[in-house]
Amino acid sequence: MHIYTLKAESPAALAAMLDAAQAGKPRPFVTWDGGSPVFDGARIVYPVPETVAGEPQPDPETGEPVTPFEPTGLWLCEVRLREADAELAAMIEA
Amino acid sequence: MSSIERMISFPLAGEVAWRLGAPPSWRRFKPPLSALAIEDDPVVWSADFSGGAYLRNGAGAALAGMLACVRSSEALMQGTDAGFHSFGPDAAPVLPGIGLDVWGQFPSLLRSGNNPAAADWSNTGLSIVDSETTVLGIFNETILVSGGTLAARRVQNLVLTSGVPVSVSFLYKAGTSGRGRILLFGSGSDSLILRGVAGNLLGSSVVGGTLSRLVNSDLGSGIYCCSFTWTPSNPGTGTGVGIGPDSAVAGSTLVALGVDVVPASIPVPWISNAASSVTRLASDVAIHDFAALSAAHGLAAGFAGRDVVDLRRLSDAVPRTVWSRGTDADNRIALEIGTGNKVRLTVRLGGADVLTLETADGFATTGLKTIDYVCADGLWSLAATGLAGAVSAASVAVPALGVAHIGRNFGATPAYLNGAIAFSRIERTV
Repeated sequence: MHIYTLKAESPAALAAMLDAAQAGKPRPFVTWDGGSPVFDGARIVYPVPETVAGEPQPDPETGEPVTPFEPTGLWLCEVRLREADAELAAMIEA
Repeated sequence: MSSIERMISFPLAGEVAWRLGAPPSWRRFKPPLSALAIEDDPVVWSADFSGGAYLRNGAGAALAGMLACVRSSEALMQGTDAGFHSFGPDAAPVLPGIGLDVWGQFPSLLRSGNNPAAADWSNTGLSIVDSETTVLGIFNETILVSGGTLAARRVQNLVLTSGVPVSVSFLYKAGTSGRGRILLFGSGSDSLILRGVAGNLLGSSVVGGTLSRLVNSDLGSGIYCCSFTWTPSNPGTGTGVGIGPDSAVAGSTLVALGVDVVPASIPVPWISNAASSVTRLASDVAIHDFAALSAAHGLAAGFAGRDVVDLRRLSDAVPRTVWSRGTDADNRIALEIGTGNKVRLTVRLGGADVLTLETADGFATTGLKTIDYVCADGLWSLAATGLAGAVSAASVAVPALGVAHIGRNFGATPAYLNGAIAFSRIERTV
């Protein structure tokens, strides 16, 4: 499996990247329904906020510190393909 | 071969009506060809997913010739044997005795829930022993040993969102404590603690959020599963899930197998997190080469069929698609189990809903439900187990039939069935 992780400032921006990468391919990464992107749920993990480890917080029951995840403001989506995709690879390198 | 040899069994009553070697006196008689022809079987495509028997174009077929499936991830499904069946990428998830189990995309909020011995879990007041024993094919036995405090637990962080329900599953065996505990907590004001005797964990503290659908299951071989839905109202940050032996006696144990936390309001099959990313992608299942099948049998002139759905839930707030056939979201026929568990057949042409047939009532019980339908201009009908049917003589054409999705619809809201189809059949009507 070839896995490509794309990062952008919003789900719409991720959809635009996928739209640009899918030209001429038999199965689209994303389609559009009333202006809203529809991601191919069989091959693409739907966009999620990127998170990083934040400041430790006390466990309310034990008081021991627990490190939360905090969003960075960026969004990620992961494309999983059986075959390599040169366009997606180029986007990640750029 | 002479005409005499071919006709010795005629008439159909069975007796030989003339002496062999002598032509019958009425040999000029010729029955019409239509009377001699074997009646053509109307079944075009038939799949007994539960029993593993398939028919296409009047002949037996392999599953691969019946379905096309796209899914770029593994899928785990629990079978009737309580074991977990793993389906590789693009493998149609057909479970013996259950059927074709079609689910949309679901992520797990835990990175290594299948293995509580993994390094991204941490300990609070407890220690662990990795038994390095695998059960049910995928789960690692991790022995949680209490350090002597009731709240001792193994913890993994996760992110919960206010108002977004999560479906939680906790798989374990009783240890020396004979008890178990699972909790969801955060820096916000709400938290949940379930604890009790192994096999019967109950809500001992429910603060702020909403606990629902709590089910304790005995899977046999000493394995228990506690599953429930938790809808937090104020989870805050620093959220985690914790599991432990629920014992203040130092050295007492619980054997943990796995935990799954999935953003969903319905119970979801276990998600494999053996890979780096813990999401089970949607199973995009369709009838293999349906355009050719439809053209060969003239299904555009009308078709009928039967589906047997294994209805496991009555509470879905959104429609569940049994199948959708057409070319796109604006030109298709869809068979759905709608809100209120009513069965609904809709025809959309050019983006307009031109026909809707719906049962007056909905399914009141779970279990296998048989749905029969006819889709033909002027002859639309729908019937389902235990429900009054619906018919329409409306003059509505069958849309062009290019794609036949199973368990999902066309378009932006695929409305996955998130369940199993035991049997499906398509017949031509003319």
